[in-house]
Formats: sequence, C-alpha cells, structure tokens
Amino acid sequence: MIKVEHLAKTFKQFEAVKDISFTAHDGEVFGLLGPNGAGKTTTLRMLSTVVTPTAGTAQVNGFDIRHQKDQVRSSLGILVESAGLYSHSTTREHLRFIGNLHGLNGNGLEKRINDLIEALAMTDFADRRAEGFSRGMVRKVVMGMALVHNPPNVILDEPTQGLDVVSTRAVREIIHRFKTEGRCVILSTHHMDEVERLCDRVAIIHRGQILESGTPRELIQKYNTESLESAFVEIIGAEALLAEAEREAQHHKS
Amino acid sequence: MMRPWDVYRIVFRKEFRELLRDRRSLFWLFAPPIILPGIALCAGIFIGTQAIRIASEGFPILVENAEEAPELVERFATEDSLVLVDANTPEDAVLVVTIPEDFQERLANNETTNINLTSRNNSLITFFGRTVVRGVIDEYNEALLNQRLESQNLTREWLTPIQIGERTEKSDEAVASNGEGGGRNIVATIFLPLAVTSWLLGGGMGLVLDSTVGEKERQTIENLLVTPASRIGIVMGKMTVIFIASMAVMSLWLIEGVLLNALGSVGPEINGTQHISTAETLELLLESGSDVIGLIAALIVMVVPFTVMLNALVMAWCAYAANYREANLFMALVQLGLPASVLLTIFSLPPDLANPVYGIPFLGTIVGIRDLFSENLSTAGLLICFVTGILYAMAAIAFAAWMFGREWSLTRGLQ
Repeated sequence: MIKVEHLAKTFKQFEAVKDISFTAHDGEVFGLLGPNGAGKTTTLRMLSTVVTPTAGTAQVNGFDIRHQKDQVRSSLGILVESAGLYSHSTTREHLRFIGNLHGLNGNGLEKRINDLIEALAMTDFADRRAEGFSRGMVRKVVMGMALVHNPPNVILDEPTQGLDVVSTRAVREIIHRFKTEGRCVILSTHHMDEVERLCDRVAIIHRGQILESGTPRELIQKYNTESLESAFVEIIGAEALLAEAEREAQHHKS
Repeated sequence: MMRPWDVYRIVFRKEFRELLRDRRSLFWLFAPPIILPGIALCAGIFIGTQAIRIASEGFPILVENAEEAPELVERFATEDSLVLVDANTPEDAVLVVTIPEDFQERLANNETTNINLTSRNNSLITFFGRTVVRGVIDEYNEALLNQRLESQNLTREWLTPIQIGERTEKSDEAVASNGEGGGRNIVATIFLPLAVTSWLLGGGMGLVLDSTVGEKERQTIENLLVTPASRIGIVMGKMTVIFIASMAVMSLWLIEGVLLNALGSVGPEINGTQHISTAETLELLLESGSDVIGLIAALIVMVVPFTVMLNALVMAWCAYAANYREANLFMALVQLGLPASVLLTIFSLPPDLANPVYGIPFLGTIVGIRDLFSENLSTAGLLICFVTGILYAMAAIAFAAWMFGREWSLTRGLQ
C-alpha cells in the first residue's frame, strides 16, 4: 500500500507539487493523470526517494519515504519514463546488476531473470548488448529492472510509451497480473483507454494539485461525459490544456 | 540490507566489464602512451637506417676548385661516409663544396679563408651529408690550428684562459639517489611530473565523465538511485575502475620516462664506444637502472594518493554536472590548467624547499616528484608527501561520495 499525505515539492521558487494526498491499496491499480508539467513525475520521484519532499510525507508498505529510504526502495519497483541502458551490457546483465544491488543472487535471481525475459518477450535480445536497442526494447529491459526484485509495490511511468501493439498488450497483461497478485500499482499515463481499462481509481493532477479523484466510471458520470478523456478535458479545462500544449511546444523549440 | 562492500564489488565488476568492452575508451586511454612513443621509435629507426644506409654507401659531394686544397680533398676521399662526385656529373651530388682560389695563399699567410657549402635541398639526407662534411673540415681546421700554434710555440690551453667546471649539489638525505651527484636527466625531471597528470589529457577524463555524468546523459542514474545500494559503495566501485585504468596509463608513461632517464645517463657511454654489442648495451642500461627501484617505490608512494585525489575531485564535479557540456567546460579548464600549473611549479619554485611545502595539496606532490628526480627530496619530505596525500585522497573520496549522495547534485539534468 502507498499512502501519500500532503506531499509538496518546491524547486527554488517553482512549486512543482503543492499538496497531494491519496492512498493506493494493495491489489489496486491507481492511475495518475495530468497534462505535461502537472507534477506527476515529481510525485513519483518523491515516492521512489530520488527527490525529498519539501513538505508532507508518504508511506510505502508502511515505510516512511523520508526516514526509511532503503526499506522503501526495497519494497518498490519503479519504471522511469526516460530511463536508459548501459550500451555495453546485455539485457540479462542489466537485470542481474539491479538484482544484485537489491541483494539478490544465485539460482533464485537467475530463475527470476529467466521468468522476466520470457514474460516481457525479451528472449530474442536477452544476451545482446543494449547498443542499438529500439525504444520498445529499452522500455522492456527497464521494466524488467523495475520488477527483478519482485516488489510488492510498483510505480509505472508511461509503461507502454514507444512499445508496439504486441508489447503493449503484454505490458497491460502484466499490469493486470500485478493486480491479481495483490500488488499495489501506481500508473502514470497519457493513454485514457489504458486508464479506463486498467485503473480501479484515478487522480487527476494539474499544477501540482489533485483536482479530482475516483473510479473512471464515477468521473464520467459526475461530469456527464461519454468517456474519461472528455471528463479529463472538462476537469482540466480546454484552455488550460491548450496553454500547456503551447508552453510545451515553446519549451521544445527553445 | 546491502553492505557497502557488497555494493562496491557489484559496481566495480559491472564498471570494469563495461570498460573492457568499450573499445573507444580503451583506445583513448592507451593510444597516447603506446602509439606516440611507438611512432617516435619507428620514425627514429626509419631515419637512422636511412642515414646508416646512405652513410655506408657514402654521401655524394662535389668539390669545386679541388686542386686548391689537395690535403682537404684527400681527407674527403678517405672519409668512408663521403663519395666524391666527378665534375661532369654535378647533379649526383647532394652538396657542393667550393674552395676559394686563394685558399693556399691565405693559409700560408696565416689568414682566414672561407669554404662555401651549397646544399641541393633541405632533405634529411643532405643534412646528414653536410654534418659529415663539416666534421671533416673541422678536423682539418683543428690540424691547421695545431700547426699554427706549434709554429708559435703555443699550446691549446693558451686559447682558453678560463675553463668552467660544473656540478649540482644534492641533499645528503636524498631519496633514491644514484650516489654520483649531478642529479638525473633534466628531461625526465620534467617528463615524469607531466606523466602523472597525463591521464587527464588522455581518455582518463573521458572515463570519469562516462561513469558519472554519463549516467545522467544515458538516463541510467535513476535506475541506480532507486535501489537500496549505498552511495559510498557506488562511488568506490566506479572510482576503483577509473583508478586502475589511470594507473595502467600512468605506469606506461612512467616506464617510458624511466627508460628515457636510463638512456639519457648511458647515452654518452654508448656514444663514446666505437663498437658495442647488444649485450653490452643492455648491461649498461641495467647498470644505470640499478637505482631505479628506489625511485619507482618513491614515485608510487607519491603518485597513488595523488591520482586517487584527482580522480575523486573530477568525479565530484561530474556528479554535479547536469550534462556532458557542463562537465566538459570544467574538464577543458583542467586540461589547460593542470599541465600549465605543473610546469609553472617545476620551474618557478626554488630548490631546497622546507619540508612542510610537500604537504600542500596538489603542489606538494608535483614539487616532490621534481625534487625526487633532482635528488633533493629527503625521506622526511617523502613521508610528509605520502601522509598528507593519503589524507587529501580520503577527503576527496568523501567529497565525491557526498556529492553523489546529494539530491541537488544528482537530480540536476534529470528529465
């Protein structure tokens, strides 16, 4: 279980996250939705202890992210959106390296690696060096690295981005399996159909705050829309989304 | 919970494997110490064999007005390395020696006369030919001078009323002294301190860059940070690989420097011998290197902590830098500043410095290496250099680990 209480983060004068609170239960897929720059990634980085909150706190499996960082890291697997690989190491070596850093080794680790290679359809490139891997292949390996220590809590930041249809389906099946296995999953994505299909509950974040939360069906009903996407636009505001898109375009241009 | 030692082993193994597979990094690390001296050696061998081949055949020269200086022409003719070309085929000569028409007359009047040497081109062969011709003329000149002095009942000492004798004083307590005084080869004195910092100019810095700021550029750092691995274990694992690579590169430079030093000291002996076999040459080199073990031991004592300190400081900066561009800016300053400050230290600081100077960070080791080679470094100075070097290295490692554990430094550059 992941319990977030009034989490806030300020970088110099910029308030990336203002005040976020939610609880993601075991056996539940909790979706975090929001436009670019809403504060999703900063929130996930605080949960994974990479960034320390300015205010508030959170518990992962009952461990405090401020004071019990190592325990939090051990009980959490995180798939980072922009994560890369070491170009001279193979897929298997990547998984083994991260597994070792989690204190795993021996036959147990090798079996886990083989299971992940099979589950994520990485057999073809299991012993190939990462140099020249496609984006989809990189995502699969990084996902394997997040799961190698079999964590009870999983944070997935855009897990299907850059994946082909077959791999996307495979990842969605894995997320579904996590749920049935009783893991707590936090999913951050832009794909509304993915959220509707996978998430039990969602929170919509904008400018560092949660504007709305509930099950996808509850949000659709509350805003009287046909889909979650329409409800999302309604909540954020079309103008705000347009402004965000323009700001994003300007950022890329500069 | 993972112990730092376990993390260290895991990170070291992974980093070392990556390095061994990274051909580009290996090339830039080892190419300068292997290829540069190799190229110089090949060039030397090529030029030497060419010169020996032509010298054995004889450099072709033409003497104009040969009848004016029969004695000199006779000397040219008996010189094995020269061949006199017939006046009908002047184009075969690499050098034309022109004897003036009043040559004999001016010599008879105890006057000075001019012989003109006209080179066909500026090639190396012409240069060697000119050197041989000048040698023959110089010998003849000496003989004439002796004749003139004898005719006046004078000796050669009469020409040099004052003679200069030179020697360099060395410390009585000098470490790794060769016991002969005079210090070692000046080339080695400059070469070796530069070799200590040479890893920065080669691929060593690229290695530090790749293992620290490279993690940010590749976006692999977050995968590492979300594990419960200890930061000190990660830093030490990465640093050990960098240290091994930089020591390997520096060792190559040092071996070349020591060889240069040995060659420099036996060079005159080899030159002064008419015929010397390979075995005799090796024996001479080994004899000259008998004091080298102490020298190398003293060097290791100074260089190891110094290298660790430099590696750790560069690593600390790279842990802070957001990307390669930021890291390279600092590296460019180091690349320019380090050799400059090494040379400045070697030449600007006076000899016979007080021992505490060897305890000054960075400067102390550079001065220590300089004084080691000029045989002015005492055992106390070496000890100060070593102890403070260890302390600075430990402080630098702690600083690098601290930088590696800071959120504000590690999250710079995260997307």
